Amino acid sequence: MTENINPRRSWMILPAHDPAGVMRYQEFKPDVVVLDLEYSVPPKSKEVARAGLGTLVRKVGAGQAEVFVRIDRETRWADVGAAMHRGIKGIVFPGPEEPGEVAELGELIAAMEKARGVDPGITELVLMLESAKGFWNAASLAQASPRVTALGVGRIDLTMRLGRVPQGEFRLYRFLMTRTLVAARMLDKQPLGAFWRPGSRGGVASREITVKAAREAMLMGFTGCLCATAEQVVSVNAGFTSA
Amino acid sequence: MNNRVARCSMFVTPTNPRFIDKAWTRGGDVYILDIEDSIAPAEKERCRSLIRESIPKANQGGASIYVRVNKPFVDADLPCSVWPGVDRIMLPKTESAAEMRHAHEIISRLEKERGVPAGTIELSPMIESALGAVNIHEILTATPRKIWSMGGGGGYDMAVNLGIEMFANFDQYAFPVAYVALAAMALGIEATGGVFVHNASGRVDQSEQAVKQAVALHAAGIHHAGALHPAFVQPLVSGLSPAQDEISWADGVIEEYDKLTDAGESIGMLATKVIDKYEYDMAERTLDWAAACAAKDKYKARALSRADTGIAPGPGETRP
Amino acid sequence: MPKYIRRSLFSLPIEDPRLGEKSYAAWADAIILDFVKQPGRDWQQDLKSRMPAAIHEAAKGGAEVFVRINSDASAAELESTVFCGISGVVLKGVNGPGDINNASQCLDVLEKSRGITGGSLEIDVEVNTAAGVWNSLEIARASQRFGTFTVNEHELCRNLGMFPGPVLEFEPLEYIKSQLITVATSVGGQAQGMSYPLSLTQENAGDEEFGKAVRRARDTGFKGAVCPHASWIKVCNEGFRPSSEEVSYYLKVREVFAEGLKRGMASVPIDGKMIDVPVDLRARLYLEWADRAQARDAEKAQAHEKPAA
Repeated sequence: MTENINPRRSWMILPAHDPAGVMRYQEFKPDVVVLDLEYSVPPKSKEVARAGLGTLVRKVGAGQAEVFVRIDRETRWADVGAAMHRGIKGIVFPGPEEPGEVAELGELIAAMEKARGVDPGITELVLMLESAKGFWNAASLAQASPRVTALGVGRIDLTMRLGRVPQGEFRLYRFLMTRTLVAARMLDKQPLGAFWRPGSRGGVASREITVKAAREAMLMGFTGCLCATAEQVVSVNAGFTSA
Repeated sequence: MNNRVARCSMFVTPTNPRFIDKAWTRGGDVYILDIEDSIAPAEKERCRSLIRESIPKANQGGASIYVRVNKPFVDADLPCSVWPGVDRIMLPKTESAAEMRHAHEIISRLEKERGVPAGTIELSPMIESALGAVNIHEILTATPRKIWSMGGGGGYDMAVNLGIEMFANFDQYAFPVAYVALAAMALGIEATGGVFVHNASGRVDQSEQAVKQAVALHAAGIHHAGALHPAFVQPLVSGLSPAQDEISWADGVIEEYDKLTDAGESIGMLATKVIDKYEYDMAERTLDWAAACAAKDKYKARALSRADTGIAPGPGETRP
Repeated sequence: MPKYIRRSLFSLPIEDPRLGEKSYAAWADAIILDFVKQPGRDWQQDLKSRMPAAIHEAAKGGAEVFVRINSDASAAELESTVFCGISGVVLKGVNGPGDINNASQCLDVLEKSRGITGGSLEIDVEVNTAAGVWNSLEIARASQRFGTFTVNEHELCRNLGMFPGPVLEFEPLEYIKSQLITVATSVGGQAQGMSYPLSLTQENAGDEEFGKAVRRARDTGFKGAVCPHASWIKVCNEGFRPSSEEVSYYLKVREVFAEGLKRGMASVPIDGKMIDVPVDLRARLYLEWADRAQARDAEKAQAHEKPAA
């Protein structure tokens, strides 16, 4: 990871069932392209998305962008199978809970690297923590496979139903950010996350809010985050660039 | 036994007849018969002897009954506390798995002896010290008995343990409260958690503070609170129940999401709000909570009318 | 109730020719000796020859004396610096309980060979790495010698990639500091630190502003602070203890409660607040704390009766 000069500030989520939509990523210049098989792909389009990944990964990968694929935890084995093609940089695994899951996925990736002619050992794993169990196990999850290169705070206001506290934050949010940061830095993984606050759910965060969320995370020690919308890329890049 | 609905719990002193006879009229969901800090050392023996008869006095309004025992006198307190009609034992200043196992074993034996179905009585560790907070995981996994985590790492005794004065204008228990909450969530254990609400006066009898607390807890997604004063009971019970507009919204979300699922979609809109699996999950929880609160309210209403008319519960009648 | 009365900790280099004078003038509860390993010299021999005198000088104002040690060179550094007269060592770069065990074993040997009571030397941890934070509980439990946590905030920020300045409206190290206080307390130890933003700016502050900052640090659970300037020491000594108002109040509490007990009451009101057994216990603990702080001041005053030689 140390020879990687890509700062990996903005990880742009793009729905993999919409190849034309995906290719417009070049307008926004994200540091990382994340082809999504999860939230942004409706159930009726999952098969199409999986089927088209081979082409998409090769196309986007050829264009100098770093390509990751975000899998769905519930269907992670099929999703990894569909994702592993030459050109892929890594897999984003949302919601890991036990180290065994991460180790198992690491082995599945190894088998697929072999089967698909991807350089062995090259495919990274990015863990986005999204459950209480995951945060509790943060360090052991990050250590469960040498492929893990980043540890992040996921959409926890949603996945963990964190309510609001009077100070204008999500309950437990800063504690969980701190916990993730410490585990990540201890294990030399890239800490991912932004300091989202109530009122900025999902893709409706304004430019100012996005820059602030990214900037505050940067000051706390994080170096990048996932972008739910195209518009967030510029703001996230700005927020994670220190003055 | 519906112990999930504990919007408001209140301590009562069994040794004070005025208090124990009247407590049930306050409308609380839970009354905690106390043998611990509200009972002077010289009075503890007498208090133990009054627990059993206090149970039917305190549950006349349909409240659940807990008993708070003394950490140093667990062996003496539990035999006086484990009876039919008691829903939960609260174990103050819990610091280790060994303490939990010890209490669990005694309760199990007493349940057997007294005809309480095994495992019915829940056990709640109260985290009131730094050691309890850091040992939270071993504490919550110590026994097979149903656990509800109470006293989540803040409060008076924690302040003494940390050597701090309470009521400074910031969250003085940032780590212990959050760490205990995370452990409970990770283990799927329900917990009374707190949120920091600035209490400038430090007084505990202001119902304004109770309303603020209820609003803050509800916004934070917490549905359980303790009342330090009878005046707090009603504001907490209503503040921590779902409002009608929340319920209507949840109904709308479920309907909309079902339509989406039928169409193979996963994201939609309802009145400018995004509807997805997260909103659906929240909506289900709201309706679930609303149903549980309604059942508890119904149960309490029936109990109240029986108390008025003096009719005992029928043989087949169980609690919700 | 704090294990140690250590309200102000002040670092001085052993190379300072005015070490004795500065220690005497500082009135700190504790002096932490730092040393430099001169390149191209036999630094171990150097240190060994200088340390006993340096310890003597550092103790001139009545302070406890500690020496700051790097974990990754602990065996060699301890061997060169541990002599009679120190209360313990401050370990930096601690990543796990193994670091504590290594140091403790060295101290076992050195206590024996240097005429220091076995087990008496304390190990204090100056947290400056993510691993030190993550493993704080195992670290604090690793040895009976464990005494306190302090945080080297600038170094920790660097290690975490955090910006080491007070730009955010909230404190970025808030949960870490609260964790260290909680963990230290759980093993019967304590933590020393300052509140934000002064903990990062480390500037000289006016008495009133600074008094508030110390109060806030105390309200978080810190029992003292590492003082980057001698000017911090006086306010820390005064602030990290019950104030005279608190002492008067707690004396009243004890008096009223005792009266009540005589009359058979277990709970008595003072100004609308109920005083019962737990409150009286707390009063007793605070009064003990105040007494011990006063006694510590008296000790230091005695040390100042003789002029700095």
